[in-house]
Amino acid sequence: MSYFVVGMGGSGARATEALLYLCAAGLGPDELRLVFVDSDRANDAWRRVGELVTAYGEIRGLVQLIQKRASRLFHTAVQIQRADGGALVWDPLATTTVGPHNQLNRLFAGLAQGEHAQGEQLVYQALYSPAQRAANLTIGLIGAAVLAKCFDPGQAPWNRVIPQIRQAVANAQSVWFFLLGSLFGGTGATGMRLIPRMVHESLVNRMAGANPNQAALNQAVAAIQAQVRWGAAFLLPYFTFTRPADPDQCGIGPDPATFTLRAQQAIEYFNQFARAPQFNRVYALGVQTPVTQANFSLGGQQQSNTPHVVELLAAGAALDFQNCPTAVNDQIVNELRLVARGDPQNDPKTNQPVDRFEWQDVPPIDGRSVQEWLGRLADAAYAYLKLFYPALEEVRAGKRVGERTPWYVDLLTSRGVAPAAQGARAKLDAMKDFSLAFFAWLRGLHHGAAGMRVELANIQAFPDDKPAGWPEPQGRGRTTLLLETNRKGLSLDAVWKLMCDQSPGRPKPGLAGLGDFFEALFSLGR
Amino acid sequence: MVHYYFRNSLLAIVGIVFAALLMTFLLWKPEPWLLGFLVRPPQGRDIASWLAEFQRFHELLLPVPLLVAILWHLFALVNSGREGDDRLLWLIAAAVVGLAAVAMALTLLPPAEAGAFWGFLFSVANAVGAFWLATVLWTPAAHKYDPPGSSSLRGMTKL
Repeated sequence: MSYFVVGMGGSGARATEALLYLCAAGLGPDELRLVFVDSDRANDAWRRVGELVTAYGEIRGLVQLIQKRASRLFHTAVQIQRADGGALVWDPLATTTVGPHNQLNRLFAGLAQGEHAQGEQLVYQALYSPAQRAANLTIGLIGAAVLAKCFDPGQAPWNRVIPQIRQAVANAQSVWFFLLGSLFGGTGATGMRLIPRMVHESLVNRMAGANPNQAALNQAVAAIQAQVRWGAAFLLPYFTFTRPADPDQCGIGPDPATFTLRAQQAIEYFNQFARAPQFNRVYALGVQTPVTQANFSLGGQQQSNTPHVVELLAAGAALDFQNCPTAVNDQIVNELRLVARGDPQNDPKTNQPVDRFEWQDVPPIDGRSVQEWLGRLADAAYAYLKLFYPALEEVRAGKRVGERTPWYVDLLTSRGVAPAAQGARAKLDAMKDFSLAFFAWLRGLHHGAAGMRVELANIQAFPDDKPAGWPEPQGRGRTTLLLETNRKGLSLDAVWKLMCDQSPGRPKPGLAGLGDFFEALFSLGR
Repeated sequence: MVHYYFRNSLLAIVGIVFAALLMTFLLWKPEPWLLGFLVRPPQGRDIASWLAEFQRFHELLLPVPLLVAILWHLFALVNSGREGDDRLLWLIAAAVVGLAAVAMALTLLPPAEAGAFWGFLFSVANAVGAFWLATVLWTPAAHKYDPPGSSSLRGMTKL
């Protein structure tokens, strides 16, 4: 099974962030191959994705050492298809064939050569205004022509992605190719149209051979059609921002006033003009009232948009896509899936309609409740941050008698794990970083939707990045972190007791013992 | 969580019963045999009747450590131990048992012409030993390494 998800642009990055949390919660497939595309690698969302990928890999590396797992947390093996130089994100402008360019002027001067150079230059000048030609492209791509020129199937990551798909098709194995990105911004909107087409063309050309005839081409197309499922989450305008009055601060970049129009045009394009591959299933996701981002930035580290529930739904769509068939009764399946919500209900206090976004608005993935599975991850992460990481810090500082703490003895020292050792410390810190990022993301979801009251988690239980000060839910009637009503959450005292009740195991080589510790923690909420 | 409380309560009950049975056995054969060499009863009284009274005294003494062990188990079942281990509390409980045994032995143990000290020592050791036996392998999980020697014994027995 080959499951590719391509995250494009800032929205794609944030949807990928949500996707990684869903995979950590156990909702992902066995294996997921991620490809990232953006000309704005410095975007803060990619920094977060990079940190998440690292932490995820550290934790996943430990738990996969366990032969029989009781929990599905961190079940998915996430593989990043990296760009040249090991970069997380493929930047089309950093193409090695024409050298780095950050302006259309320079890019086309490098590309437009040969007998058609003059003609190409004329087309280019007709398509782009002088301001656009001089714009800084690192904040996002302008137009499909740039991406089409920069796409090189011989360049990483495509020189690995395309052969992997080709190999799978040759072995009659199923391939899922899913795109995550917006239809209204820069890179995402461009890549959604072009990336599947370029990948498809490259596949057909390779499979048809060096000198293909029409029959060979048709055969290649049919083989790809039979094995590869193409899907996408089309993120429609769900955020906006206020552009500064000073045009020098705005430059040439995305204009929120055009978001709706751009999305309409993109849908029209897919509806009428898109060539192969045909999407087997697309998910169209948007909101009634786009949220206004607090800070304006054209790109780079300063562009740090708040997480949004639409991105969570897009990530869910990427995983729901695994159930998509290529054909039913030899007919190619083309589906458009929409997520609908109920009408706003009246608030009993004010008697005014309130548009709430609740867990019932999040569709299940493969029949599994997202609330329940993310709730397990939340429970484990919360207990780790509130109980176990601080205790291990004290042990490392020599401030606490760890020798009589049962979970510490049975799950760590008796299994040959020394928390102060360099290797173990890195893993323990990775879990802390992952957990803090997870709660920050959950908090962000509640702040990121205008016109909607997001009610997904008890965010008062994790109000900031300082777990030591988080209030501990008290009493028998306490709510669980993700407001589950179908199961009782465990108190921290109960978690501590259950961890103390784990059977002492045999010493294990390397860090496998630490994997047991995490597995025990992850299994508590089952 | 129900499973935790059920399992650990059951283990605690097993510990109490185990300690009671073991002490009963010790008082039935090995201790009378040993004390027969160590103690000389007062004139006009044979060793058999002294030993019978020693055993009857333990019918009053042994419930004390077992009762304290039950209280310890209840504490260990309810308390999470998050704030640190409670070995000090276990030691205090053992000291209470020991002091109670001393007081009871001084007042209730049958007199002897020689070797009364041995009777006194056996009584205190029986009381503290019963408490230790009832808790060392059977204390609820959150405090299972609080009784002295529990780490080694649990390591050997895998309990």
